Parts: sequence; C-alpha cells; structure tokens
Amino acid sequence: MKLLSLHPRQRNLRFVLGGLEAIVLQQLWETDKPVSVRDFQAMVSERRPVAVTTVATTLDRLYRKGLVSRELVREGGPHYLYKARMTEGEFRYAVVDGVMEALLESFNDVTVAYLAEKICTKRPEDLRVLSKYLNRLRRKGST
Amino acid sequence: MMDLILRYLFMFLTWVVMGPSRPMAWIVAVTAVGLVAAFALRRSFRGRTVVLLGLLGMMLVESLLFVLVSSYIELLGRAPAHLARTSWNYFAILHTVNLGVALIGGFAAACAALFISFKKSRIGLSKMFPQLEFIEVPPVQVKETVKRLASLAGVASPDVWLVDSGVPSAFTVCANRRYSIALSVGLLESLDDKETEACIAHEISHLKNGDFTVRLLATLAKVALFAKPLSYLIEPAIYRAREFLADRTAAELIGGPDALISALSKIKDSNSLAAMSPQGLTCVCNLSGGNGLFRFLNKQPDLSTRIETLREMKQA
Repeated sequence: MKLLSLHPRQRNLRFVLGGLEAIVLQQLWETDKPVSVRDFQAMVSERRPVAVTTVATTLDRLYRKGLVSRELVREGGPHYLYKARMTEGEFRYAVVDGVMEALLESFNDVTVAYLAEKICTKRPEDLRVLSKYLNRLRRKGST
Repeated sequence: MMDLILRYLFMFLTWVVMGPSRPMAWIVAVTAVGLVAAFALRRSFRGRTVVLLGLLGMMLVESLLFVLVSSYIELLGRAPAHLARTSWNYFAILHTVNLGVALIGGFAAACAALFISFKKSRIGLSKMFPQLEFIEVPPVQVKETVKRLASLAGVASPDVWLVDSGVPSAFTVCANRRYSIALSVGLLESLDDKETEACIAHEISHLKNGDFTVRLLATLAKVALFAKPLSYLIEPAIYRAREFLADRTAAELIGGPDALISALSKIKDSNSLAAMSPQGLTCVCNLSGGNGLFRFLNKQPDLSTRIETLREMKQA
C-alpha cells in the first residue's frame, strides 16, 4: 500500500480516503467476489446514487493507491473485475502502522510518553489489552 | 486627465494586439472587427476558425512588415525627426526591440515546428505517454466500428489502441507517422455501444476536419507571436472551435446528437475526478473537458457547454 494522505479532521475511513472512495471500498469489502463496474454501480447506488463513470474513476483511483486489484476480461466487451486487495482488518492495521511508524521515527520519546500516559490515565480498559500484549511478548522473549 | 487615461488605454490595447511595435490605429481596428466577427460567428465553427486564423496571420504579416520597413528606414538613416531627435533615439530602440522580438519568435516557431514534427514522426505512443499503458489488440467490435466510421467519413482508418486505465477517456494522436485512436477500458466498460460509437465518431471527426493541421498552424503562429498577448487568447479559441466542430461532424456521422449527448453527460459526471488527460499537446485531441475557471484560456471547452450546443443542434 502506498502512503495515503491524511485528513485529520475526518473520522473512520474518511481519515485516509475521499468520501466516495470510502463508500466504494466499504461496498467492495462487503462483496466477496470480483465485480465489474456496471454490477458494482448498482450496489453502490443503494447507498448513494452515482454514475457508472464516477464508480469507474473512483475504482481506478483506489487501484492507483494500491487498495484494490483488477483483472482485464475481454469476453463481452473489455472490462475490469475489481476486488479488494486486503480485508478491512488488514487495511486498518496498515493505516495505523503507517501513522505510528512515522510518529515513532520522527518524535520517538514524545510518542511513547503520550501513549503510556493516555492509556494509563484515560483508557483503563485499553490498559488491560496492552498488558496482555506485553505479557505475551515478554513470554516470547524469555523462551 | 481623461485624455491621459484614454491614451494609456490605447497604448495598452495596442500592446495587447501588436506587442512592442508602434501603435497603429488601423491594426487595432481590424483586430477589433475580427474579434467581433469571431464572437458573432458563434454557431459557425468553420467560419470562426477562418476569422481567428486570419487574425493570427494578419498579426504575423504586420510584425514582419514593421520590422522590414523600420530596418529600411534605419538603414537609410531617415527616422522620423520627432522620434529620432530625442535624446534616447526612440526610433532606434523601437526598431531594435522589434527586430529582436521577431527574430526570437521566428526562431522559436522554427524550433517548435521541428520538435512537433519530430514528435509526430519518430516517437511511438508509449514513449509519448509514459504514464499510460497501451494494450495492442483492441476488441474486434471496436475495431470494426472505427473502420466503418472512418470509411463513412472518407478518411484512412486509424490504428486503435486500448488504454489500461479505469478512467473513461478517449483521444486521437499522431505518433510514428500514424494516426491512432486510444480508448480506455474505463470508457468501454461504462458507456454502452451507441455512446462508444459516438465517442469514436468524435475522434474520427477530428481527422476528417483536419484538426491536426489547424492546431499546428495556430500553435506555430502563437509561438512566433509570443510578444503579442492576444495570440494567447486566439490559439485556445481555435482549439475550442475545432472541438465543437468535431462534435457537430460526429453527430452528422452517426445520424443525430443523442448518443453523443448522453456519452458526454456520463463523462462529465466523472470528469472532475479524472487525473488522466493528456491535454495541451498539438498532436493530441482529447475527449475530456476543461474546467470552468479561465475557460477562455483553456484549449478544451467545458463539457456542459458542448452538451448544450449539441442540444441546440438537435432542436434546430
């Protein structure tokens, strides 16, 4: 996945994608088989009415960003079959990985201190998850 | 005060039309008439092209004549007394500037002509557009449509290429001494057969109307007249007129503007998102639209204006 540009004021998928891109990608995750643009437009139109050309352009952008893969089919007029390159979980991980990697590289001490403080004081329920991870990592390290 | 303002306004206008040569009222007047004629000929795109190309030609002749005459006067040493006797020798300065501008313009135009002809004859498609990927064998149906429309229009059938891109787009280009029509997969998958045919007819019409030659002439004239700001408006206006003319010819080829209207409306929906559009090259005619801001400087007319013009044609 190429590095995505961030929109700090937006939440969820919109944090890293444009509005239509987010809708299209979400729909693609919910569709489990490769789809053509025309079939896909009918699906997306249930969420938001869009033209076929708009869907085609949006999918092309997602392809350029490395989020979907496509395959050229010649039968029945040349067209692409698109499918998502990663699952929703993998995508979320990739986004967090990209952001945190950059933060740890640029502002290491502040980032670590911030995480520790934020999780210890404001989010006790996350502290449990974190300590579970830490314990698992420690055990791995000792064996 | 008013007098001074008017005088400076006239000087500005002459600069816009003529560049740094001497203010001459008759050339400003002829240009004004030409511009009004071009504006009035809104519905005759051929007439418009002729008037605008004529204006460019007149500006070329004017600068050439001025340089010749002023060189002659300068050689004889007979500059007008009221200009030559000033401490700056205004006439000599004017002459030198104009000669320099004309030489630079001529040299630049010659370079541009060489460059464009080199590009047209020696460079292949994939080298001309390194950002695009071309697939060699287009579908049989598309190839047949191109052949049929080309013979209908009476031009040699161009090569057909498929562009590996999901963005709906089509363009015609002269590369390797051959005309090629490139259609993107995104165009074929999102338009139906009638609309695809209309897009191909538009591209064929560019060949039929000889738009590559018209564009070459306009661009070379603009390069030669680089010091005259008006040429920067006329050249894109010619490009736009040819685009409208190609729409009209396409509608005649396929028997009615309906398919082209619906194709253009579909393309318009995604046009704002599209990043792929090889615009501005003399050897490429492109189907996408320009943006609305500064449209008088844009070589690609607005898609909604094109749709409107086709609708008017339908009613007439």
